[in-house]
Amino acid sequence: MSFVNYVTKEVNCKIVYYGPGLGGKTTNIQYVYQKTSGDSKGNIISLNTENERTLFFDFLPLDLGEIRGFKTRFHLYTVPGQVFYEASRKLILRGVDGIIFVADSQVERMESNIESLKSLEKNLVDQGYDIGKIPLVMQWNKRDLPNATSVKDLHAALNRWSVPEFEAVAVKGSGVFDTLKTISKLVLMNLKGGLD
Amino acid sequence: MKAINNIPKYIETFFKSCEIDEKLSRYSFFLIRYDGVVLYHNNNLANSLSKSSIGALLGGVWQAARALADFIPKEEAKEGYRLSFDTSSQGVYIVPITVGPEELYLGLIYHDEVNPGFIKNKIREMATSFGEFLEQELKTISDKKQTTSENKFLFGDITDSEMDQMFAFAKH
Repeated sequence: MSFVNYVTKEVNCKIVYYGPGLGGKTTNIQYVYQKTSGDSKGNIISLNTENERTLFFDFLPLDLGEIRGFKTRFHLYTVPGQVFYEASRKLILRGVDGIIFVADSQVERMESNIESLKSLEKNLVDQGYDIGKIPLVMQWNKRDLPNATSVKDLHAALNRWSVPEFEAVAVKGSGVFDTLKTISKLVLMNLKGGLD
Repeated sequence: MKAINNIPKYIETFFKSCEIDEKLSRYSFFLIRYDGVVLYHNNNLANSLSKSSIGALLGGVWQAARALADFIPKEEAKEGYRLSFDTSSQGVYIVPITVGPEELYLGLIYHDEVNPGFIKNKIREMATSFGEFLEQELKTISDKKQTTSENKFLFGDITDSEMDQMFAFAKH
């Protein structure tokens, strides 16, 4: 749930990167961190396992500047992608305002993508959200790999809501900011609160 | 209850008038929402972490602990939980504050403390006082007025040009 602070004129929103393990969620926010100038970003927090896999979450606070007199602050979270961290994913979705589903384009990862999307739907329902109503953007990551599934097949298998979708190569930064900008816009457009 | 969005209006008033605030001036404390958004902070930590990062960590550790506590049979819980991660002189202490249907958390980070039990007790008192203060303040807000303004979209007509400006910080 977004937070509008009328005293400090700040808007806080929570965006979660969701998707299968090793799909590129952490790489997305690491790229955002690298390419963001010092004043706009806070520290990146990563709670990892010994082998650099996300254990609980990654977190990056991002100041997007002012809009109509309000400072906008986005909190970017990633969930752990590995199947057995379902409880953690559920916790991190609490209060979410927008979701970027990072799918791994490799043919052999399609089952994992589908499984992860099902878990997202279920976890949202458990917390009273409707995946058809919450701001959602799809990112087809790893488009540079030779074994990438066609975008048409990814769309057919994963994007039945026809939400905005982007091709990406997160390690090189391609598509990372396009995806983030689109979900940010959807979240802001969806933000209710009224001006006191 | 979006009235919770008005809480920052009252926080300054409360903490400024709070005797406990003076006693805790050597420490860092944070009032956060369940999702880690910081509503108020008095950060005296010599640490590079931003208040947002500390809020996310406090929110995360509480949620994880709360999920673990669900394994405990409910009938045994005779009072609300608190979370303590400490040594005999330093640590982190989190206390929940119930405000209507929502829960906020008061997190304290302290060090070099001779009597942590005393400080924890003060924090619990502070949480109780603040909960009561907030309930009272929020009662005065007109529900009708809230409903009317909360149904408006703040940025429903935001343009691509405005979004481009917001993302101008990105180094390409």
